[in-house]
Formats: sequence, structure tokens, C-alpha cells
Amino acid sequence: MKTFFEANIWPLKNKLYRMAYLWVKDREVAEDILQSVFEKAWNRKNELQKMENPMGWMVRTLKNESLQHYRFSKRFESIQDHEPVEESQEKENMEVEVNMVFSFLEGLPDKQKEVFQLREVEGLTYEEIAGYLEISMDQVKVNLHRARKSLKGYLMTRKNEE
Amino acid sequence: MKNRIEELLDKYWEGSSNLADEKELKDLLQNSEGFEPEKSFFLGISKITAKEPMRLQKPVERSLEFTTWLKMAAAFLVLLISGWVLFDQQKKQAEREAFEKVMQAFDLIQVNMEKGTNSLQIMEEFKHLGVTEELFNIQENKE
Repeated sequence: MKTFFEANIWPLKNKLYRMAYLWVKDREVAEDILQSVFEKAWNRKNELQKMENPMGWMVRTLKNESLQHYRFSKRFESIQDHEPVEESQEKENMEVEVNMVFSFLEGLPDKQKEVFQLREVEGLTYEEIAGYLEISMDQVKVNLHRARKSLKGYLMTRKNEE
Repeated sequence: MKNRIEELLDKYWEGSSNLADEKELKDLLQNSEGFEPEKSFFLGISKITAKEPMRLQKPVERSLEFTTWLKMAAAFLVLLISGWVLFDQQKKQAEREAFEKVMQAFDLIQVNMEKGTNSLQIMEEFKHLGVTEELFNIQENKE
């Protein structure tokens, strides 16, 4: 018989990995962050089992870990005083279409970005997105609508450039 | 097909499409001509969706071992600290007892010394034995 962790937390790994990847834009770093989040979740598995929304906790922890990494790498860059080599190399290696998605997402406010990626990349329902991000359904709809409006403008600009 | 794509795209931009509509739209776009920016964008999305972690490890075994070691280390530390506290208390108690015994011995010596000094008090009287001879300058003629 599967434990709560195996049945409910571990299966989130692919979705959470892609979320972290879209935030930090580096596959290796995304895996390191996710590993650390799963370690934390494992240590608090009994608490998680009692939570109403363990997915929300996982996403929140992932976001905090990614933010910490971002702050640390920014500090590291300012100490080193040079361009972030790994990130630029990773971007160069990206496929054109993936890069296009990244450059669009970069221009979106955080909440719109999160809602948009959960809908488009993960194919989640409004209700599921609301649970993952711990926000209301109305907020999901508004943010998704705004993100799509921005996407329409972004694609229109590209069409005109071609 | 183009009309259907445009219809679905309108619903998509308005935010009134459901997941089935969106799937249909993405499938139709991949198999149609035109709509190049939309096609590239949704292809990028599907490429991201296909990405999965490569070396992620389920933390079960390693963490279990770690927490066990952590518990053992914590128990050992508690034992060590409580042992040290006990040892320290016993050491202080022994020192206190030894000090008290020494003080008792000193008390005993003091009491006995007082007794001895009092019994020697009579010897003080002997110093008056030659006082008469000294006063009247009496010299004993032993001849």
C-alpha cells in the first residue's frame, strides 16, 4: 500500500519541475531546488497529510526556494561582477519555440505567469489552479484572461515583424 | 478547418474556452497552414510540457537514515549532558563534604587547644615565686 507521500506528493514531481524550470530557466538548478523541496516535504510528511491543501504548500515552498536561489545568484553575480554564464548558455541551447515561450513569460507579472503556465503547460482546470496557487477562482480567470490578452499582442507583434 | 481554428482562437482570447476546446485548437494548429506565430508558441508550450526531471531521487530511504541518525545523535547528546551534570553535582557534593570534615577537625583541634591552654593557666602563678627575694634583695647563703 502506498503511503500518503507516495500517493499524493511524489506524483507532483513533473509539474513542480516544470514550474521551477520556468522560474529559474535552468534544468539543473530546477532539479536541485525540487530535490530540496521534496526533502522538506518528506521531513514534514505527517503535517502535510493533515493539511487541507498540501499541493498549495508544495507550490509555496517551491516558490520560496526558487526565490532564495534567485536572490543568492544575484548576490553571487554582484560579487563576481560578471554575466551569469550558466543562464546565458542554457538560453542559447534552448529550442527556438521554447525560447519564444520564455521571452513572452518574462514580460508578464508573476501571478499571470503562474496562472498561465499551470493552464497552458499543465492543462489544469481553474479550480485546480486556484488550489495550487491558493487564490480564488475569480483571480485565476482574471489573471488568465490578462495573460492571454498579452499573448495576443505579443503574437501580433511577431506576425508584423515577419 | 481555418474557420474552426479562428472560432476556437476567439474563444481562447476571450477566456471562454474549456480544456477540450484548447486541446482541439492546439491539435488543429499543428496540422494546418498559416497561424505561424501561434503554431510556434503552442509547440514551445508542448516541448516544455514534455520536460521531466532526470536525476530526482525520492527522499524516502536517505531521509529515514538521516532522521534515525539525527535521533540517535540527539539521544547521545542528552545522555552526555545529563551525565556531565550528574558528575558535576556529585563532585561538588564530595568537595562540600570534605570541606565540612576539615572544618569539623579544625573545630575539634580548637576545642582541645582551649582545654590545654586553660590547664596551663596555673603555670602563670609560678612567675611570682621569686618576687619576695627580688623585692628585699635576699640572697641565699649556701655556705
